[in-house]
Amino acid sequence: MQDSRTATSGAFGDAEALWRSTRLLACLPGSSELPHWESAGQARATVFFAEEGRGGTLWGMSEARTPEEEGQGLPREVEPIGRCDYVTRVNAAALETDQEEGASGARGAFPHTGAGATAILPPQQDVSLLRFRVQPAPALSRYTAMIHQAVANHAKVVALMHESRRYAEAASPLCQLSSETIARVAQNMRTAENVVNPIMGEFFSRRPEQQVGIDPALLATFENAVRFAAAHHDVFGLARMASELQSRTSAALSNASDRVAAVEAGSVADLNAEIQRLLSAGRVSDARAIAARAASRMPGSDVFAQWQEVLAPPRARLAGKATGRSRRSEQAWLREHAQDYKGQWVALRGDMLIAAGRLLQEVRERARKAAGLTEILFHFVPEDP
Amino acid sequence: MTTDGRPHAGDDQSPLRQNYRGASELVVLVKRWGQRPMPAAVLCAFEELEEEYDALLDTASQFCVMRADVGEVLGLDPDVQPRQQLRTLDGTIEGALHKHTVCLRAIVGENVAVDASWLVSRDWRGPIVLGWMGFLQSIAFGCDPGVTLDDVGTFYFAPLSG
Repeated sequence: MQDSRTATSGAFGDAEALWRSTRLLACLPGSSELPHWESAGQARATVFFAEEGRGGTLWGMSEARTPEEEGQGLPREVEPIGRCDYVTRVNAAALETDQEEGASGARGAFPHTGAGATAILPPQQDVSLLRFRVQPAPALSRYTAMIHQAVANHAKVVALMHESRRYAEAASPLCQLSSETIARVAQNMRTAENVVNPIMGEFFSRRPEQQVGIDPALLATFENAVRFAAAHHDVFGLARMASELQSRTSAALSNASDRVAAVEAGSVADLNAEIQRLLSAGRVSDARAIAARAASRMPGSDVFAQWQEVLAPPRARLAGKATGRSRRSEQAWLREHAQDYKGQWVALRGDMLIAAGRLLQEVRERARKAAGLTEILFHFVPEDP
Repeated sequence: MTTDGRPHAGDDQSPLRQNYRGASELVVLVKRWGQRPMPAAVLCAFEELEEEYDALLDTASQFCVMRADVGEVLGLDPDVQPRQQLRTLDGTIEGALHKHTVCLRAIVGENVAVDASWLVSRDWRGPIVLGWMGFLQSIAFGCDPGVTLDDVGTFYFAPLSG
């Protein structure tokens, strides 16, 4: 059995020609590294695409080549290497055995048979997808901006997929690949679009406020796992986590969708109640998002504009040179006398009581008449509970 | 109190230093409200008023809170929409939410103003409260409580937005 790294860079050096053509289909700009090849022994395969959901066809390259192909430095064409019900790290030894028995036997190479699986995208795309699905647990106020960024990324992905398909069609004569191969790869890409777009579409069709219901702890856990997998070039691990996260995300979005749909069907009073409920639960960002949408849906309703205003994050600014002064004298007076004024406002200047009373307006007025309000400290002495 | 707002971290601990822009006094009020443990109080002011007020710092409070009579002095109606309830040690209170600027007046350095979110409540029987979501989250702050309870310490602050 060869060392996998050596085999990847050696025996598959010629395969880069094919990969370069398929990279056009698969990669986002800026990716300079070749994709990771699962490699061990005599069997190597990389997943270009597994069609969808619960099982699908793995498309990849096998190592076996005809003598003619070896002479031309071309790998075998992209071909289906087996079906899977759940994609995980390929057991290459089993794959090798299975391939000898025919493609149908390759199913045994994937130990997690029977489990659900979702789309496996070309590696670079998969990583791209994971980047937005596994953002670190952010403060909710930052989550909206992250989603907007993901939407922008999504648009870029879709544009690239279309562009890549055109490249694939144009690249056929240059890469000396058979038209059948190109057609198959192009078909893969079209199928990928059909898989990717609904998933992405579902995710992005949710408004930001619906998406903040995703458990941040779960996202953080996945982020750590994804970082580990990415560091080890574990494309299959990434794919598996993408599958799991997609599943959990969908569930979270479904719950959020029910809640927001109920709100959308409701009245101003319902929306008010929902905002208040979210605030009581400490979910200020969610409440802020609901208020924003309600304000846009009901521009004539002042109350939602007011919600937007009062829920806007506070902003601090410098406000000139220091104008405060020490209040130690007032504090000393309070330590000695505050217990005598429970339930009252006291107006102090230094260690002198200027006025006291139960209503601030009255105490202010008395203080203003007695000494003016400049440098007065107002202190409310609560009653004992 | 130091004038540069770096009272604790040494020169060899630059990641720990915070460039506070102002500092004022911090008062611990534990003994002033029965036996209830109280957070520290600082001085605050409202731009349209000459005087200053004691205000409690409360990281557990979503909003800043003021009594209705304070709201009325500032022209903040406690009976309008939007309304919200808030759970407190004295039970649930209800009031109207408003945005209103409050200023931390520095004794050293510079003042800092915050357009804070306030719950103006007729139910509230306590002092002015500066809460987390509506106020504290927008500033960097540090507390030096002083030597003993009921002593006067130092409150350092700076706007997060610089």
